[in-house]
Amino acid sequence: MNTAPPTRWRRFRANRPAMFGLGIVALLLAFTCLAPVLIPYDPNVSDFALPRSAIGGPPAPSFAHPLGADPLFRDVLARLGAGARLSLGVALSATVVALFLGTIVGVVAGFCEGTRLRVVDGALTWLLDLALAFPYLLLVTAIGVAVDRAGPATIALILGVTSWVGMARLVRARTLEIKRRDYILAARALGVRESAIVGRHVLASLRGTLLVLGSQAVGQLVLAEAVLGYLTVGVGPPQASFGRMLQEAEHYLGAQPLLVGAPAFAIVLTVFGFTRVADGLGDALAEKSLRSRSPFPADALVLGGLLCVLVGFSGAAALDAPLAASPHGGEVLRLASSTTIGSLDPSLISDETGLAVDELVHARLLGRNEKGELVGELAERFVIENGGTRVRVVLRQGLTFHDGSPLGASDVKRSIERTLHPDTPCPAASEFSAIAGFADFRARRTRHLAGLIIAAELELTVDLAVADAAFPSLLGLGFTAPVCDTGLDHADPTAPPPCGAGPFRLARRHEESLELSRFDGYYLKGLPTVAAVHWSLGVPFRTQLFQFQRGELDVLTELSGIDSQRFTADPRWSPTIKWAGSGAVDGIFLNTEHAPFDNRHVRRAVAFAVDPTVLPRLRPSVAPRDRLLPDGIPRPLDAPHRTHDVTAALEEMRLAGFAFDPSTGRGGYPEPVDYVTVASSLDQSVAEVYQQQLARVGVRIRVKPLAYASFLAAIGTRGACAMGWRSWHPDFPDPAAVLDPTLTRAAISEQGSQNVSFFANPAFDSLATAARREASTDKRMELYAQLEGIVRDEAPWIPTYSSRRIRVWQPYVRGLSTTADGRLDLRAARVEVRTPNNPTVERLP
Amino acid sequence: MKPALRQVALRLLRSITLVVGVANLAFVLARTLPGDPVRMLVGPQASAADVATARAIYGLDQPLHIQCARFWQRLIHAPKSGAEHKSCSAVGPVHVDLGYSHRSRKGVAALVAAKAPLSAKLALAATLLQLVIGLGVGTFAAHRRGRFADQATIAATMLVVSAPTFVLGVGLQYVLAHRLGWLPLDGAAGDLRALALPALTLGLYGSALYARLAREELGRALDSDFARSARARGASRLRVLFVHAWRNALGSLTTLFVLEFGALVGGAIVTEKLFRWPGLGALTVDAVVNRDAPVLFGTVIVAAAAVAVASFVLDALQVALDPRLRK
Repeated sequence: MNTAPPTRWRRFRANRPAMFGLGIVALLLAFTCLAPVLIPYDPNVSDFALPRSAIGGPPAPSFAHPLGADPLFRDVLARLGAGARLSLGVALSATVVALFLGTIVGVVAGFCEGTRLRVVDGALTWLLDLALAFPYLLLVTAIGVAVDRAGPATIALILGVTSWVGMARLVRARTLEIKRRDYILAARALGVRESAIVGRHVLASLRGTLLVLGSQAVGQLVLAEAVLGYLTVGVGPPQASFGRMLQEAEHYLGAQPLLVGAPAFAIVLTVFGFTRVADGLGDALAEKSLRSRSPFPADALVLGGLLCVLVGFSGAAALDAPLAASPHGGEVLRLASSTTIGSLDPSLISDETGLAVDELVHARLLGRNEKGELVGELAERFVIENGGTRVRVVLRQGLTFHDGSPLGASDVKRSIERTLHPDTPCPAASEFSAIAGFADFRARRTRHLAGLIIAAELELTVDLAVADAAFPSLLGLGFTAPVCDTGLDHADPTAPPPCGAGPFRLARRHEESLELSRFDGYYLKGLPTVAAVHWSLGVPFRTQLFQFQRGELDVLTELSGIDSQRFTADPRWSPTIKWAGSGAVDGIFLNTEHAPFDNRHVRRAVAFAVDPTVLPRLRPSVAPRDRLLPDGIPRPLDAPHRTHDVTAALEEMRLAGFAFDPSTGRGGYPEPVDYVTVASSLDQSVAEVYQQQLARVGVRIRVKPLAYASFLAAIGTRGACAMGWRSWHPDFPDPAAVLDPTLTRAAISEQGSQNVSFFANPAFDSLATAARREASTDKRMELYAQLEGIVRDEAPWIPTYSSRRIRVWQPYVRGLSTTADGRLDLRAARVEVRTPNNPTVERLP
Repeated sequence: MKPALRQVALRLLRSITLVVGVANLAFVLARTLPGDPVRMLVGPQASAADVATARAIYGLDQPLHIQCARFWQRLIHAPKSGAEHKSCSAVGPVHVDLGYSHRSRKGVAALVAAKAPLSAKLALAATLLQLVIGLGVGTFAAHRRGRFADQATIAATMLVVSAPTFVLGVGLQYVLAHRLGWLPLDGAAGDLRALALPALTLGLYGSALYARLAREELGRALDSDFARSARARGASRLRVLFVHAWRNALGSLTTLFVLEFGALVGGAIVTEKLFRWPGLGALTVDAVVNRDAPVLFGTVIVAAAAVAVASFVLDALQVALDPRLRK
């Protein structure tokens, strides 16, 4: 910028806010450059030896770690330095890209205006309008999701190519103005070529404008990067950026506000600094001089004020005391979920929240007792006959649906046929393929399912084509729950869900909430006790916690790890907290067709190297696991366990031909391997721990967080992913519901494969089939012990943890219990409203 | 009169092509997003066979260009009766059919029509706040130009826009609703009190733009010759500010107002999601998460149409406000 006359610089210097902004920018750049030298910690390495904070959160600020450590026990100051480097680097490079594109398009459009080429101008301005009319955030996110790689260069490019539009418009307007100036006309009259006019005169005159636009854009792009990072389409882990740090700290707002405050303040400071500089440049170029007449440095004071507010709120707020009585009165139980519900038709439900609601509306034929054994629910009893090929179900007397009509065996037959009808998009129809006549019914060759026979008014016989020891469990699922007659033979997704015979009827359904009301004809007399249930949907964890403390929610079923820890640590809450297993198993799948995991030894090396025992340090809700079959499933006693053994892992790597020397870091598998997981899930944090553990045996993984939909599509596609997160929540507590759908060859397909390891082992398959046909429980369990042994030795799927669920309720809620599979049983729940004895006390001491 | 009419017709045509262009861009985007809407419907544990059955039932086994062609074909049509048109909504004499939402299986036209008034309500409240705060601060700052009060208020509004919206929103929720307990925690109730937090977030955010623009424009007008001569003729400082300078600043402020309002009516994506405000913005987010292409089409078209209408109105307003543009 040597052409800028000194007067401009002097004007800029006299502008106090602009100089203040420049000071901020200079400080930031200095911090960015010096952070790696001054801070003795690696921003990407966890130090699990650090002590937890007083409330059990991540390590609190100390002399060695002035800003404390993040949820993965990494130094926050070091991450802030690395984050500043990345965020500023991305913003600066994106600005260069945007300026380049914006200038070209703006100058070309401006020059074509009013000439023979005005069509070009018209087309370009139309395109600019188009880009402006499209929601910016959506565009950036969509491109971010669609582009697979999330390196800093990619993010810079995405931000660059989506943010030049505004610049192009301004450049076009300036070009129009410049090209009408006399000296341009003179140059043209002298015969100077158009290209030379653009190069020599127009671009030179635009320099000032571009400088202003550029410095403004840097600030805006730091913001855009933060949003991208927050939406987890930004730079991949473990790298820090301002946005990622915010996203990682999201749940710690209540427990450790500093974790949110630090990156937030850094963003504000950066954007503020660059905007001030841009404004100052603009003023200086516009030949405006505004001499400050204020005796105080306003900017510094305002920033200082913000810092004071941040510090004032940076202490962790204590949890509120429990409430003694419902502040709302009335017998309504209030619950919330962070997800929304797709369908509430029992034949179609596939999501966890939908299932929890559906259990209240549609009673099942069979249920489970505390020991996890199948017992009658709407059915009085069930009998297995003919060597396991016939199941006889006898219903209770006097059952009715919500609409008052009686419930008999014909209704059960109709309901099952409705679920399995070829026009019903049931997510689990193929699980019922053992029923006689299933194939003919699905192919529309018969109008009824031949295997379902009404033996008496209250008795249904189910004939199976082959023996299936797991079949009675299917009668405990929502897919076989009796529903009222809708007049249709299949489930229509566009129609409202049919009524059932459960303890509550669906009174109202909105997108954001559900209202259920008590069904007085429920088969268990006197239940349910509460008159209504109000279920809010799509409520973020943070809001749920706040609502619960205000008494707007009575039961809290979803809590972030750190907040469940706060409740657990608080003695006032301990009587009304319950932890329950989720019934799911989480771990790592290794694609047995994909290098390097087509080599059995590498798979075994990973299995030995991963140590899940540190995971509870991340979140108390995580229980480490060393075997596949989840808790609550009847399983073989002497089942084989997986062990953590780094020496064995190194030996397996040597056998695989990838010997690794931990002291020098040489050897190992030469290529980095992608680990796919769901963005901002618990598993993403877990994966960053695996990353550090596997590096010690020479397997270098890159964590690739994807949006949930992309993740599901990716893992089921043959040859797409080498390894990643595998979580399985069995439909019913039986080994068959874990092993058969996930590891047999029948579960392999090109797209949407459920065998995501593409594990093809004939011995495994024949054992699994034999176990399914086996009538004797003891013999079945023996077979499953062998199957678990194969999984351990072949390591297509390495179970590492399962998450537990916490329930916290206000003490005025009584009679709450948990079902065998960890779900909440609301049937006997009561809500204590204010009583004459207890008219005023609202909070317990 | 005739050339003017032609001008208007051309302008209208341009707006329509813009909306069509945006819708097609949305289609391309929905196509490039990895993920399977059917998988999102049947859940992560459905077998490949059950996914295939569901795909055929939902009609998603057709190639995407055929789905897109079918979409345009049925978008606007004369009223017909028949089961295949349950997803229609009547708009005056024609029917608009945006198909079914993959996820909720409701007609998209009806879904969007139910959400649009809520987004408009939020946009209105936010814009009111923006105008009151922004213009107030801007006028005050222009009046005290160069002094401490000017620099401090402008610095404060700049701080607000220097934070990402979600940080501002979460911060407001944490302090005003949780710690101080003054406001409801979110906007799910859809009533006036529930409007407070989302409107305040958007209001504070936008007010900074108005404040800076108003200060800039009013400052320029106050520096100009006509302001000086008005002062010389004995007009008070405040009269010059409110009467002379304001009239001059109106053009730029109107531009900002119309464009901002147009963008807000299409749904404030982050704020609506943050506070569970049941408008178009939250609907858009859910559509992306669930790969619900018909809903994404619907919301993007409405958002684009709002922007197009706004800029159309803006052109007309500018001509009305500025006599120099009337030739």
